[in-house]
Amino acid sequence: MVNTWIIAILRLSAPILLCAVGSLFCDRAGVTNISLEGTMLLAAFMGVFGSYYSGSWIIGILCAVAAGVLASLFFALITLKFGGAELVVGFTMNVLLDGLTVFMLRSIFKVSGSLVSEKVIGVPSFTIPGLTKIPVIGGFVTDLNILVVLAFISVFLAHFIFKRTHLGLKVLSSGENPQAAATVGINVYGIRLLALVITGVLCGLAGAQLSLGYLSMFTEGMTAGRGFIALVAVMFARGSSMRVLLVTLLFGAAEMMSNYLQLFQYSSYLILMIPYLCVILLTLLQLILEQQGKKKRMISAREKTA
Amino acid sequence: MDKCVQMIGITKRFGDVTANSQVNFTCSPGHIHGLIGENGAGKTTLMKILYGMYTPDEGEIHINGEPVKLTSPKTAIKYGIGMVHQHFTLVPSLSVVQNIILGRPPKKTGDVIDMKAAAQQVIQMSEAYNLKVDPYAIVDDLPVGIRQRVEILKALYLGADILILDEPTAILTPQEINQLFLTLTELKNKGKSIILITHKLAEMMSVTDDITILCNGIVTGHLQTEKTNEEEIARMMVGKDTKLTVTKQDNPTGQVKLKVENLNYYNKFGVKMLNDVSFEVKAGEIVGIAGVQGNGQTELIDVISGFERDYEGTVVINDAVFSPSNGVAQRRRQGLSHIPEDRQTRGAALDASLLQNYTMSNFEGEGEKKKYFINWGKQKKRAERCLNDFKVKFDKVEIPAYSLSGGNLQKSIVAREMEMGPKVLIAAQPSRGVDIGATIFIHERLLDRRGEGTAILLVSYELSEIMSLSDRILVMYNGRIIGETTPKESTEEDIGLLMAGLHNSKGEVQ
Amino acid sequence: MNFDFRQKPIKVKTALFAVMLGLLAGAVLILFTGNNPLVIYGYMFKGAFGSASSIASTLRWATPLLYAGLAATIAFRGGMFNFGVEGQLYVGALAAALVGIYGAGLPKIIHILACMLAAMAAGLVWAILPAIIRVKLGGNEAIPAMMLNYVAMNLCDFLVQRFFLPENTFGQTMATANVAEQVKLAKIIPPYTVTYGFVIAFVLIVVAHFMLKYTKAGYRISMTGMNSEFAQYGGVDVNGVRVKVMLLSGAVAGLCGAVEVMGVTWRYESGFSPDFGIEGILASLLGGNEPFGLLIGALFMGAVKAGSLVVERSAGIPRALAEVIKALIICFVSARLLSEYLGMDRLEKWLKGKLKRTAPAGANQVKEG
Repeated sequence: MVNTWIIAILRLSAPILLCAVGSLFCDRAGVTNISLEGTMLLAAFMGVFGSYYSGSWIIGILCAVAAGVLASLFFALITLKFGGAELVVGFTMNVLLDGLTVFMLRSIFKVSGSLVSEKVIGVPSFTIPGLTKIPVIGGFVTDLNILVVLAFISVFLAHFIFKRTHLGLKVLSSGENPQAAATVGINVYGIRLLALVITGVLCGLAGAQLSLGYLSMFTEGMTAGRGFIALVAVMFARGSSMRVLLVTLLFGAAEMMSNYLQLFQYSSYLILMIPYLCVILLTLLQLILEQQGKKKRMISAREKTA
Repeated sequence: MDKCVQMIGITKRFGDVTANSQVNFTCSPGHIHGLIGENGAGKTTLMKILYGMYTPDEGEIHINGEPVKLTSPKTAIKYGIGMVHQHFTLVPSLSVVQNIILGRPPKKTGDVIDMKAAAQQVIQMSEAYNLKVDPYAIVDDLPVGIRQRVEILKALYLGADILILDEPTAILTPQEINQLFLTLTELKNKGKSIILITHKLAEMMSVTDDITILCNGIVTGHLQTEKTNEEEIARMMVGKDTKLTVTKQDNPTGQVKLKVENLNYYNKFGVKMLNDVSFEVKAGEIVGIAGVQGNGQTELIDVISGFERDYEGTVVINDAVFSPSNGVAQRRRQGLSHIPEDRQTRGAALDASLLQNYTMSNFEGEGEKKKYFINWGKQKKRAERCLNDFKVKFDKVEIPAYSLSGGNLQKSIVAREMEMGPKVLIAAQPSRGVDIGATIFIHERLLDRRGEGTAILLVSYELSEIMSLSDRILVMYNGRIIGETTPKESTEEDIGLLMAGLHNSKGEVQ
Repeated sequence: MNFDFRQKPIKVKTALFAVMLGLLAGAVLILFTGNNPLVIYGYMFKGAFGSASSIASTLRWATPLLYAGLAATIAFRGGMFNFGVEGQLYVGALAAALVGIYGAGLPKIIHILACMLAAMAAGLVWAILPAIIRVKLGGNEAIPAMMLNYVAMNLCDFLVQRFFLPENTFGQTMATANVAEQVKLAKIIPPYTVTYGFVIAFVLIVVAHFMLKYTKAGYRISMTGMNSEFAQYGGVDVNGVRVKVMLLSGAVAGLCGAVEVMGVTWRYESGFSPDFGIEGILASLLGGNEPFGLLIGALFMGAVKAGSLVVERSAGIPRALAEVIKALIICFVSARLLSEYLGMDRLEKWLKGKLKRTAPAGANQVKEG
């Protein structure tokens, strides 16, 4: 029972996790990119598109990644090169990409709402044999797919990059004090562009997981706010990759509970609210804790100087 | 390793403004070269060209006789040029080591940093140059003097033989300044060339070997320090024997218009920035607050103006008693005006028009509470008259504030805050970033208001400004008023000692 | 993450240029569907302006955008992001529908007013949490507001499902009963679905313009949005402004829902809003966050929507194309340096030169907005 839950949480967290890691790079590099929702959606569509026409899930994933990168490059072009306001462009891109996916769905596939077809080949899942029956551990090795694995690898990779590599330092300094970075010869513009490309790749994988990872279909608007939830995770994490992981798993759990509860008699509407309410509660919790923390530090500092 | 750098015929323009014009500058190893000039004379621009941040429109740079093209800081670093900027270029959340090796860390395989080796190098350098730092300390926790050491180590780490320091003493206490000069002498003796940019005459005289003076982008003098004196340098800085100060007559004072009692304030980090501050300012009097930046002056102004409300104590403006619960609007309505320290963040909305900016000073002024509408026609006429009176250069009042130069923007702010003949005027750094002619103009207007009975609280980090304008001087140190005197009773040196917290006004050591 | 947003005015020439580029991009997409862009744009134009029914359609689709956009404009001017307009208009719609059904005993004018006030109250309440988050807790209000949108939509559907479903519905659509006859807003161009809601919106826009420009309250709002530290230094109660602006914005958003319910659908229906909230925000951005700019932006977007419906019916091109074009236009509007890059300045100087030579002496220079 616990294992089924773990399997579900891992699967559901993966898209948000991938987006969140990408968003982490953007945030640390000093780019405010709120277009993740739309980017993930476009990637989800292109994943299905690629799989449909090629019959291969690998091509599907590649198409999804390409879509993510293209979207991020568009964002980079309009904001970095042409001076657009990041918030306006990011927000508008979500509308743009949502409209674009609907347009493509209806004009290419001649359906509206969802695309379901045997021609769409999903990402196969695999299981590590032998360990499935063990409680808890079994949950981590059953019914995985490559995208879920990549999601978790990406978090640990990000952690390593920020703590131990020169690239990580470059990103951190570009975001926190770009003048400092520039005066030692770091190409801040290049770093920000790289961060956006990384985000594009990761959002691409996230979209692929959504549309090919478990079900093999595309539904209009299927991202349902996950891109924004990823943003909240990053804001809550204040730069720590590990905290991003924790928060994302929490949201995965909330979504899993929500799915699970739908099996019972509760109104589906109430249940659908759960993940979003969790985000709001988490935001409130974090802000209140921060305020308390500041107050405590102030009081103790006052006592020292008094 | 020993490098001789020559800048020949450097000219640099930004739009209509010529920042540098045919400037020649040389620096040689084992010397400390001073580069001095008024605000806006072109010193920082020249050095930014040397550091590869700007490309000159005309002229060449030679290193050891060979012409070089410095296209970016990266290239300059390669040639052994390092710069410590006025506003620190450190990343606060990273450690000392991480900041120092930021540009070129020692690596293990791939891109992974070898932190042990990095820390080793930092410790070695810090001992070699006598610049003690803790490699693993987080920069955010460090005091200003130590941060500057990290900046210097950063430049040395990248292989600087030529070290440029841009106004390094602006935010240091007198002791830290002494420490810095010792360090510079040590570096000079090790064969480095040092270029010191400053506008402070006394520092020039104490530590440099030779001095280049810039005035309005042109070199007006090359002097050897031991053969010259402050007056000669000052004359070259302003180009002629212009008035350096205003002449102040005595002025009869009236009633107390501003009174503060027992002000106590903790900032958001819990540090006590104001410690039982009390004083008065009478009508027709200028009280100057002297002190090194960071001793509570900013907080004092915020508390008096009502911008900051989380304090204890009483503020009385024009006989109206204000507690922390009273906001800025209420205080302004009692006749308080305020020239803010930071014109870009607090003094103006840069995207708004001059007219909109102008209106901010009077729409909550005396007698304005009952009115709900703004009469833009009237405002426009008033704004035009006010700005013209102050000789602000502008086309029309509808242009956005960002199109004014720094000096003109400052004048426009001073103009609008003084216009209504306030009862109490807080003037914080009123002539910051303004050339000497405009500074005299502003000082004369301040004296005019004083003559008309305004109580003026002057806060400035330029002791000369305090000395030339104040009737009384209060010295702030560590959030307290530790001394009171007048320009007639004390010299700048006396006050400097107070500013450093060394003596109180009775001459006793603290 | 940096959620700082400073008001920056938009030049008319930038907007026009962005529109051109957006239409060009749309043309490329149309080509992909195997149609002729000029023909399609022709349909679009006819669908928006070509007949009385077209114009009515344009106005009908512009109306909710005027309200939602006004809500967004008010918030933006005060430096706040009301991304929760969608949720606020949903709760407003439900409130108006319920008062419309259960208040049937009231006299007509009072009943109409009651519906609208209920909607405004509901929208205002839904804006309280984001306001608190920003002002009391110092966090950013944008994303919590977005989350509240999803909560609102589900909450309203739940309430209808549980309490307000009329009997004998085998509903696929979660909807309430119809509101009383007397609150249904009268049509101004019968038989088309353009109601007095449009007139009221227009009046509100004029009032908003007047308030922002000529009153002290409007000045306080504008300055808070431009530089809140400067506003505070000058005596503005910045936090007070932020809260008031957010609550007012929520109220106007609620009114959007009310007008849609009272004018068009005559009941609360699940999912009745095709992203009016988001579209309203876009309209506001297009209009440079100025009320009259919003008027033009909303009319433009209404026209594009009306046109895209006709295009969908006649040529089968999905109406989502309009979304893409609209969004691209706004991206291009924001990209200030784009026109420089494409040499538009040189083109403009050349055009101006031509105009000067052909115009008689003493003619006015082309003014920039």
